[in-house]
Amino acid sequence: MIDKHNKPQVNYTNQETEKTSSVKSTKVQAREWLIYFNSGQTTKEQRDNFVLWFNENDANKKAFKQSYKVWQTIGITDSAVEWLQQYANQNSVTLPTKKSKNTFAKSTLWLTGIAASVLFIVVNNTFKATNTLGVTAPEIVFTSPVGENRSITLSDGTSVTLAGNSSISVNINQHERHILLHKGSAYFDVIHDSERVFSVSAQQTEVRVRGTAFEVKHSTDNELKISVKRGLVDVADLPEQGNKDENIVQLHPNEQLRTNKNGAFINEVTHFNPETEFAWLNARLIYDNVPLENVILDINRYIKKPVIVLDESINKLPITASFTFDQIEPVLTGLVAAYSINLTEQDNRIVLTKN
Amino acid sequence: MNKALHNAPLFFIDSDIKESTVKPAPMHALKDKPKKSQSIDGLFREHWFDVCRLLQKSYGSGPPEPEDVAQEAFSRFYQINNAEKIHDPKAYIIKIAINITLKSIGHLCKTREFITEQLQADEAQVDTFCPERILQSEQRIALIQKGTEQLSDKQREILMRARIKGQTYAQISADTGWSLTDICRQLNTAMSILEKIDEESGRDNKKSHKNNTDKSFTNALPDE
Repeated sequence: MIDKHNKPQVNYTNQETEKTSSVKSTKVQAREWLIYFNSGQTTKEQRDNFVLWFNENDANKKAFKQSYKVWQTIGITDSAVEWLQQYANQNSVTLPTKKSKNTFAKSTLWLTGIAASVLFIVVNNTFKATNTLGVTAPEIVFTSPVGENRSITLSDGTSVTLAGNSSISVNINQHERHILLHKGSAYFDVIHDSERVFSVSAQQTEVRVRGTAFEVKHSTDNELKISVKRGLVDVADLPEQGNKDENIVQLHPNEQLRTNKNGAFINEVTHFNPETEFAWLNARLIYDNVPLENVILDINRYIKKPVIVLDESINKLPITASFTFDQIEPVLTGLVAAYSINLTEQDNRIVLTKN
Repeated sequence: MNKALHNAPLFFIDSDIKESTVKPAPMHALKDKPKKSQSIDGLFREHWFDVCRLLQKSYGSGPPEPEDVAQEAFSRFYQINNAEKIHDPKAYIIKIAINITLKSIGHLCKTREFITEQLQADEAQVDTFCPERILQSEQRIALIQKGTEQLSDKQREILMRARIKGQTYAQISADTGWSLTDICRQLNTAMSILEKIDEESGRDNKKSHKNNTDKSFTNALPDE
């Protein structure tokens, strides 16, 4: 087991003194390692010892995996729930005064897609009765993790797909349906409702529809890109000064518009290829002569270690490619082979520079 | 692909793009969602407060904050395809919440990362809360459940404090007054009982699999 120095008594260098039952001995060792790792006091030396033991033979590996599976399974038994409920009743943790929180920033760590209807019901019905505990109402914020898309169905039936590392907040009530795109990209397939306009705002731009399918995306240089798949979409700039009229442009299917961070329309309405533009909905990225910086912006939604371009001269390098989210790493390796680019993998990021 | 591509620097990983792969997800795939959200509305109303309260009483006010954990747990539950097969949704949501909370406890994170690395598995593979995996592993879970009922009160208390509360042995010792050596010994015994049950069930299943090769074997968690 674990001795007074918190080291497991596992003799991995001379393990088989108990020749009568080597299998049992391996299992015992595996168990001791598992128990050691959960002690809360492990050392690098012992971890290194474990690696040696673990890789010594397949029997060790198998024994440890089995032990670990049992350990994991304990966490999903009803016994675990019963014990926790019992523990909670007997040992209430002293609760500090509820601190105010930056709802969006904190929520993004934990909130993921859940039907807005659910949230509204909670907000409107449940929490009125629960304020004595200090439990605050959840924000209606939906986020997607880095690495994958997330699909959500809102309470009005509208389908939303968030690209990786994206975030929206939702406000749907009797009178309006409003979405705020905080970051990333979102595709909306809006259920028609003649009584309530469906609007999406980001930066100083607002997109208004009644029933249609479109994408709103944060792009490079603080630009916003609106791409329409189906139906009609009104794009409006939101003037910061109240006395200024807003400009509105109507987009048709396969039309696209870019706006800057102030809401101003950057260029004329352009056409796009929907198969390329919306490929991300099917876990694929397709580019036809697209600047490297745009490709990197998308890639960074789907890999844990962000890619940084440190050499501006390669930012505009035209890329034509098609790959799935799973193929991003080979793509980066291929970039180095195909172009004069250096790739340096650091602890927390991947850096691209000109060769 | 258009003609311009011939002049552009070409860089293809997979040029075989099937037409069907670039179409947005069809709406009919989401047909059952409204119905589903209706049922989760009820679950939310019924259990949200209880789940938050349980998390607060068990793990404190965070971080992670109980409301955030509960919300993530309900969210994950909402995304399960065959949630109707779950007999006790509240218990299931609590299990998800426990799992989420434990992922934020420092020493457990390090352990998880280290073990994941050694097992050469990705995080998803060692994440017990893959819903499909749980449903596939019902029999195994039931056996381990039975096994925990065979443990002495002391063994179960230590096991659950370590595994479910995420306490270090020093914390368990401080809370209970039991020595570190005793805690390790009891934990070892508890785990040996559960491992034995698990091993025997695995053997039984292999036998029954041999006898009836047509039956699918859904007892064990997939190899990590």
